[in-house]
Amino acid sequence: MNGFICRWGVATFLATCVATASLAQDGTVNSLDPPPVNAADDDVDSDIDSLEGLLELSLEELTQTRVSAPALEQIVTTVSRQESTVGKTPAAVFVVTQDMIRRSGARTLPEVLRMVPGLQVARIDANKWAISIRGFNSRYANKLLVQIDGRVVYTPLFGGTYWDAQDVMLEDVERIEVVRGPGATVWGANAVNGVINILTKHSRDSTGALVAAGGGKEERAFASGRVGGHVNDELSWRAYGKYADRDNGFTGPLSTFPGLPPLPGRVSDDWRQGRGGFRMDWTPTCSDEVTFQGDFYNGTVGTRQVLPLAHPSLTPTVVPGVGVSDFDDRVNGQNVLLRWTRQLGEGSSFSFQSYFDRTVRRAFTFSEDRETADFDFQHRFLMGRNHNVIWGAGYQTSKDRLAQTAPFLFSSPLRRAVGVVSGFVQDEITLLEDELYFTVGSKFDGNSFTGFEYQPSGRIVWQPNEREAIWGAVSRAIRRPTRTADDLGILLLSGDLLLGNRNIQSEDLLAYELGYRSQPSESFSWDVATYFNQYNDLIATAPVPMAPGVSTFNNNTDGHSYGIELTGNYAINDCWRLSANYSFQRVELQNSSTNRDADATPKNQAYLWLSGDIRCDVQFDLMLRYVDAISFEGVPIPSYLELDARLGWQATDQLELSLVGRNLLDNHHPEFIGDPFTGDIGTEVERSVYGVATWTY
Amino acid sequence: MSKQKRQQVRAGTNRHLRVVRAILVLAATLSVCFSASAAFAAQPKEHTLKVAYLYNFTKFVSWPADALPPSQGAFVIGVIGENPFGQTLNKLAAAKLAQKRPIAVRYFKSLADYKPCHMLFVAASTPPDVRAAIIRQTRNQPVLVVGENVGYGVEGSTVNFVLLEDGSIKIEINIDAMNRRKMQANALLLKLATVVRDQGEE
Repeated sequence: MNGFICRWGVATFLATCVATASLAQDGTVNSLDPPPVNAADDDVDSDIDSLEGLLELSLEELTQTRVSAPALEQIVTTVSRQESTVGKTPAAVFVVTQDMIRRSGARTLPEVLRMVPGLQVARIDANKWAISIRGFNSRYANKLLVQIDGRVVYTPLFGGTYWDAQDVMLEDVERIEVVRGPGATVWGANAVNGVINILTKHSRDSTGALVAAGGGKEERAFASGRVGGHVNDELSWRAYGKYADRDNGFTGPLSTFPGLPPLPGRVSDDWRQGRGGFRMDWTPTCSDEVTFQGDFYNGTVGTRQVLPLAHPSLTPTVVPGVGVSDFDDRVNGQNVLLRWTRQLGEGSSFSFQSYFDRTVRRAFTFSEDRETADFDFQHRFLMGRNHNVIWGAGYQTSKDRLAQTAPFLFSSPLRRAVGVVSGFVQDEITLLEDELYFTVGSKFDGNSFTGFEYQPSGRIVWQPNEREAIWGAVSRAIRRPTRTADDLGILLLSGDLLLGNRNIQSEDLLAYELGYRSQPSESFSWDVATYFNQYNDLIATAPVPMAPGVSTFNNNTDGHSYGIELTGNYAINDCWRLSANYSFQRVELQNSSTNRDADATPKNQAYLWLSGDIRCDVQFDLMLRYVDAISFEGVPIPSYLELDARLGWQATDQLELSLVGRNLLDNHHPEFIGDPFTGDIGTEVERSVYGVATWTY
Repeated sequence: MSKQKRQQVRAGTNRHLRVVRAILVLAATLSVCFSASAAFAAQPKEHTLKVAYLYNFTKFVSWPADALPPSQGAFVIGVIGENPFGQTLNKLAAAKLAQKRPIAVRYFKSLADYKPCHMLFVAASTPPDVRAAIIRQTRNQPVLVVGENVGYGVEGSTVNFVLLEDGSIKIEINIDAMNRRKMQANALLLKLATVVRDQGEE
């Protein structure tokens, strides 16, 4: 491992040197290209209409004029890898701000994500979540790209995210951008159904000390702390640490599998995790910025698995040949990231980013040690007056070591390093200034699984005026096969053997999207997005002919999905606001041996959030959410309606006290069941109430 | 009926009730949404409004006589930093006169390219050290420096825009800087603006 880190460090250093040297000759720091000056522009557009209107106003009237659309002016970077605003973005994007995180009272990332329209969040047990966008949900949901500060956190083992290992200091999150629909043209494989991009604050915006601590039912005890400051005008820093101890879920009727009787005892899926990290931002010149950050975590997560063999450590069940394991999985990881951004002039900049990420997971049936090194370069420039071009190149290598700790899961080979070389280019073309933009581009990559892949997209956005935008997009995205589909062998609960298939190809998506957003008045904004996704060559399992009891992966499943997502925000008055979202989605598959992906998608989902200040120092939030019934692996899971609430009191300038209640309408309710694939057992979500004291200095 | 069956039946009834409740909640939300969308109030973009302000400054600020020789040359508005106006400022120049003369707009790559103008807009993207250098370099010249970074007013910019949370724009006028540059703001402008002094002045 040390050798690997060393090589990553040397490679990062060399790449930085080369980039510095090659760009040193145009080191005209702070030089700005002359903006296009065209004196007479005869075309009359809405811009000059409103300018003409404004020029007629008296100075007094001007001071009473308010500028447009804060909702549409919200900054997003995920869609095109550069700063833009929601209003101009040709994609279905939702931004979770720091204020929304604080007011939600949530203590984990999955709980924060429940507010996002079109996103499916279902808790499987106390520490496992199934999270996906636009369908295909399961613990191993694999069509989603999740990033924290530019670091990809889904595992190449199965292409999904272990949510029990992903956390940040929630108080230091700047915003979470969620893009529904493909983001593959700029981000590459796995950004098939959406992208979740978690961005933490610049360290100059998180100076001072903050301590938050609390506890209660379910969230037994938690504490987090951060200090930050400036060394001088150029260098700022912060460091944080946090710890949480969380209770187990409710062992209900679904805490078993079809055909099995209720299992003995309670599921001990309680979990504990500690985490720490730092971030430093250095601005050596007015056009350079260097960010260095890192995190580490360590925890144990309780897991119950039902397994098909007698093993000395398994608890026998009444069903012969089937045993239960209650095991504390150990998870830990470390990562460091270095990013250098230089402004070259108006509309032009480049950035170089490199990170090293190590994750370790020791479960009952297997262990995974993974080391990932990633290098990424991107450059943006203006070409003429109408082309905003961004291109980039990257290399990622991910090396793992799998080990079977019990005879249920094996891998051949046990160690594998997977490399991906990639490049992308995208051009945002201004067809009509401030009105009509067309974006076209493609990602190209070569990888160890399937060779060369391309993922193009075309997007158009029309802003007839400052308060409305209509956008449409057609894009292709692929999901690469993973270690699981390639190399693994798993002994299933049925006694069948599931074997990897090295001939497996990428899954293919062609997505058509259309959306509209509007801010008709200062107090009201809304948007709607619709999509039709055509999937080909989906990876699914099927029995191997002539080999009874053996199944494998193939690409024989096709299908499509469609849906609509509606979001609205209404400021009732200066103190109270109401936001709501509704999504309808449907997945239909052909040739599939199982319909689990289609049935595990709730048809209807709704969220209603009333948020307000009772007094200037008392905040109150009420969140109502509805999720339709689903069925997973043939097991029906009823719909649910739940209520979360938070009361916050700013007791002094430095101390805030809050009381949070979650899932208040039921003692307990199921949201998902375990996964027969790996034998994980699910539990139900219980009502939770906890208090938090936050002290800032 | 077994206990499990009873639970299932109860869950079923609860489920229907919840669906009905959820639909009611949604209907209420949507009706609120649609009633609100009736109110359609026009709002300009931030930098369009700022151009309108710049135009008004040409009317409500007086320059020393030698800065504007009679019937000679254009009224020059300079922009330094990443141009936030798009074509809007050029459209103003094409449509209006300032101090009874045509408006010329100049965009400066950097401070090194700076040529004297009557009004200099310092865009938000300009780094702090360049902003300070602009104040130093034009300290006693009759240039109406207009900034849009918080704190630039007390740092010596004659005028500074501050965008407030409610979407309105606050105008700061630094009277020390105006006096140094021998320029005067009209009483109406001073009344509507927030008057500030140089940092550290008593």
